[in-house]
Amino acid sequence: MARQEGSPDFKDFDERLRRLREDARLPQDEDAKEQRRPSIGGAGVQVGVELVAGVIGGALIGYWLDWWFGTWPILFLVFFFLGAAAGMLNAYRYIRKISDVPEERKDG
Amino acid sequence: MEEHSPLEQFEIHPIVPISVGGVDLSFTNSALWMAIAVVLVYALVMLGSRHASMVPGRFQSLVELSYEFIGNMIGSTVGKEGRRYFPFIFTLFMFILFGNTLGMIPGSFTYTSHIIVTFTMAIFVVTAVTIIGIVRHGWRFFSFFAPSGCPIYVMPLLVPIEVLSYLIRPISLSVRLFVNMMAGHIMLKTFAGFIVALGGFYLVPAIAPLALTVGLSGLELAIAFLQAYVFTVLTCIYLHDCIHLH
Repeated sequence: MARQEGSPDFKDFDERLRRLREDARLPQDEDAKEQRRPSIGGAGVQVGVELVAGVIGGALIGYWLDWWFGTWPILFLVFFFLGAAAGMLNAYRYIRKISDVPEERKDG
Repeated sequence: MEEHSPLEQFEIHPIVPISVGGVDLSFTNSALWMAIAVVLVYALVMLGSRHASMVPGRFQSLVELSYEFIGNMIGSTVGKEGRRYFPFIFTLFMFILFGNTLGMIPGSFTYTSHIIVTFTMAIFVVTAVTIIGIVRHGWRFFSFFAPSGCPIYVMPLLVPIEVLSYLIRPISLSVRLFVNMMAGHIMLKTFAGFIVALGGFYLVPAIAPLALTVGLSGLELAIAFLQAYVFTVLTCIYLHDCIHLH
């Protein structure tokens, strides 16, 4: 951000700043890791949003496909349940992410 | 007498009515506050980086803090490849943050409390991220929807679920922001309404809702920041998924 001109002792300024920051960062990072885990209430809201979004999304897509193909209500029903499953999958992944369980598939 | 419904604050009024070929393109209060947010963000960044000095002043500190905040967020969630998307993520964060916090000014309009605004942003993010994924990986991008190590006979069920769980991302992303902002503002206005209602009788009982409104205002400011952060972090996570594919 700062301009590179003017002060003669600016050359080691970046270096000094970086060193100071790294010193200050050590305890901060611990805090940040603790804070990354949301409160129980917050996590509940997120999971709720995921579940509801799954059902709404699935139902909308199914409704739209039915309207397109004229197959009401077969695709609506199929996508309603698929959407609910997808919402559960998202909620499950979210919970895994915020709890310290190691990721299931690093490969692929 | 004015209407005092807690929902009145979400009404959209045209300020400059514009109609192009029967399509309503009016400049509304929502558009006005978006414009205000953009001007303020621009002014802040310009003011903060204009007279850059070694010992930063107020504005420069603010700009540097937000720059580093987003920079670190991208570094820790997307990785090195995410640097080139910094301008987009930074703009997104500042736009949502200013929308949320400007909405805390009494009498203003919170554009992030409208699902159509948040959904537009979310669908833009997911579309952009998908295009980035396809450009980077080509057809291999679609292996994203086929989890590895699964027996072949569950694929017909698993792939649609994976595709759907990808497609509902913009919905959950936008609903989260909009629900938080709308619920908070309704709650604030309801409790603020109690002050007037109770203050008509005696002064003492009105103190309780007043105290609650003060507390809620603080909480809402925290949520305004937190939801801007959550939206941006999720954008970064989606970006990470599409760049690294599993």
